[in-house]
Amino acid sequence: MYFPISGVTIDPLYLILIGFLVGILGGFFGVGGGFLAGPILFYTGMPWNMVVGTDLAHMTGGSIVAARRHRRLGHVDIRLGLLMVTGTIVGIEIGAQIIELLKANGQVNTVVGWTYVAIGTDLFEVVISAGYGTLTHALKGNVDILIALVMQTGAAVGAQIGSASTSYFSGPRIRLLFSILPLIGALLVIARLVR
Amino acid sequence: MSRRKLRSFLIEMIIYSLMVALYLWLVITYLAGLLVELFDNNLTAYAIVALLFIFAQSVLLDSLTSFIMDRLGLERLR
Repeated sequence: MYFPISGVTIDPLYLILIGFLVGILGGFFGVGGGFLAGPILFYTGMPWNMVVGTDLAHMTGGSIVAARRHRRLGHVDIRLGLLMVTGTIVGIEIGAQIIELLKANGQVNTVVGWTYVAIGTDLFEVVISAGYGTLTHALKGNVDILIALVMQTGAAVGAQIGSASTSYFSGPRIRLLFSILPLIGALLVIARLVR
Repeated sequence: MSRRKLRSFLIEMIIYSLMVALYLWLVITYLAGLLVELFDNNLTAYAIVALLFIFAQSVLLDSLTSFIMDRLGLERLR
């Protein structure tokens, strides 16, 4: 399927599957999942500026679904989340401005690929920070909402399953599994860059 | 998870999956052209509409699922 906003052709089932897997991981580990979905999107050939913005858009939806489920399970500390949001929004805006600078210099694919980092560790906080990130990146033309919505279709269901699953695993086991995830994302970025 | 809760959760996921799939189909079929036009001509409107679409998919559909589950007398996982 051709996505005219970012100018790439990607199988929508592939996007839904990515969204579903990232949604499960995001809901289970309490993160947006951008450190994994970003490199996977980059691997399909999307330019980095679009990857970052589109991924934030998809994270917003998945995080809302997961945060609502976690809230029902009594896992959300809203005051702590709001405190974390303050710093993250400043960081997102600085990151978005840096990407604009790199776009202007034609270096966005090289530099961002190596410095991509996970955004936030708490889903409630991710909802607000990723929502703000979506808005500021969309204003700069870095969001393909059609790709984000296709991914979110899988992510919304995955996030429900991942969030519900947390009730059946102990904290140390979740932390141990979590330590592996960023490594997978880093390997995908390296594979795309050396390809 | 008890069998009853698992059954409710599976029904909830089926209802929710069907609704998000229908929502995506409606957006791709009827609104993709509008979104591309907004992206090309008015990024501010595009940004606002993009956020609205995301919130609609995540908040409204989840709330709608809750409503249907309540109407069916099925318990949601807590």
